[in-house]
Amino acid sequence: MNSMIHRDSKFSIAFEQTKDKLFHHSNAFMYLFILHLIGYLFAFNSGISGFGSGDFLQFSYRSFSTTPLYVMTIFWMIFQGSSLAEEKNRQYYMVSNNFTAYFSDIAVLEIFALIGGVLTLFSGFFMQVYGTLFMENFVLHSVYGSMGVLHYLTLFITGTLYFLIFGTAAYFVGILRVRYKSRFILVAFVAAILLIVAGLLAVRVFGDSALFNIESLFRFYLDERSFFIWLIKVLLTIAGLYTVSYFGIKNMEVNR
Amino acid sequence: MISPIFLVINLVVVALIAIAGVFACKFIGQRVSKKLSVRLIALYTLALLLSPIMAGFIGQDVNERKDPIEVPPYHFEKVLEDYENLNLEDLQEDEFLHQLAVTEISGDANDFPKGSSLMIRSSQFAYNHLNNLIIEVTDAVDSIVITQFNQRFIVDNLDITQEFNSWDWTIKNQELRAEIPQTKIQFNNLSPSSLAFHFDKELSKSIQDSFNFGFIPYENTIQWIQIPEGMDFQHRGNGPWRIKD
Repeated sequence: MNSMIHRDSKFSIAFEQTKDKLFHHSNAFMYLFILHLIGYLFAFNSGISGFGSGDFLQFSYRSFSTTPLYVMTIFWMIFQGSSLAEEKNRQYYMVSNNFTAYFSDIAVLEIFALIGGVLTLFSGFFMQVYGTLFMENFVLHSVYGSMGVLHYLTLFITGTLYFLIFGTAAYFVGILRVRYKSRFILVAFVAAILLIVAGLLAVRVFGDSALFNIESLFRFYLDERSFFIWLIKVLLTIAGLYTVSYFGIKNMEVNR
Repeated sequence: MISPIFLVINLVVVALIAIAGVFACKFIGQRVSKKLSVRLIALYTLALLLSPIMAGFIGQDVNERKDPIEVPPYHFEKVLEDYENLNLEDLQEDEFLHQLAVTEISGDANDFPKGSSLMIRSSQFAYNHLNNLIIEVTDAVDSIVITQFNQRFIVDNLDITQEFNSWDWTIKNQELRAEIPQTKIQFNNLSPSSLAFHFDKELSKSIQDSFNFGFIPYENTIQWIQIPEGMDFQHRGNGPWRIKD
């Protein structure tokens, strides 16, 4: 074993591993590019919200937004999170312990989220340029007039942190799957059945008021209007996911 | 109410495209070298970073008017019904109407051989369109003048009445005729992602409201025909003839 590396601190090893993982995962950028192309396809081909015709006037109104790109980037983050966790199966680093592996994983995820945030932030401008050059009657929504630097900053921060949440959640689930293998599938199956049964029983007993939908889960974050409370909520969520995935990886055997 | 079949078809299409995306990633993404994918994302990032500057050069202006005109629906029908009390000037001053074009029939066409007269026939127009005519006999003009008005059509603070095609008036065989071209407008509107208004309640409301632009005036024109005094004219056919003397 190379003793020179052993003299380095944990963090410098983790830093080296981060660089190495970024290089190893650089095909992820190709995936992002392809997914963004599909996102643009959706963004420019959806959103007919008014159409009608009379003898004088045939009118159709389409409104585009960058929402499909956000959805695609979220897919990409989930993909990357689970593939980073998957790698724990076949650990190829000679000098590595669970801490450095974990630390470099979350660093890579954060860098990916940052890249996704920047790209989706600027995709609005890109759509604007494309639309102005190649489309007739292309106008900007009047809301653009009242947008300031603060709104763009909000767009960047919220986008990045939401991507990070999805990425870490996928990483956590991937870690559980890698660690517990067949038991994970069994537990997931049992949990799904229990949830369905519990949901059916709850509706049976309590009526409609007990309905839990996935929207209300996101509303916890999306309906928050105060920036600092939102930030605390999101950071606590990410920290919680980090912690549980660290405990998942902590006692795991590597180099199996 | 969206029909469930439509929803299912949409979901299937979305699922197919998602599966196609995953396959594209697997097949293209894994075959491409790392160098190429890094270069590609660098180019893409560069294009994205340059696009605000490009957008600045192209100069797509945003209409920032804060209090848009609320045009009452069917305003032009009220004007048409009230034609006896109104003058051309009243229509020109009406802020809900836009004067689209003024057509003056040139001198020669106004001269008719003795004993014959100008003919306006309802069979030229569909019933709806005859509804839009107001005929005024006046000494203010020397030849036939047709002034065309359209009810203003405002979408998201933008007045797009200017883009409407005007009626093309001619006289042929002593008959006043109009070619009615249809205006085709496809409006493409880019709205920012609603995440930008995460902490801004008012703006996030205004972006949701903008999709209800409400009334679309498909038959919204008023054709004000001025005929010089002393010119004989006949009108034939059924329909509401609005004639001011």
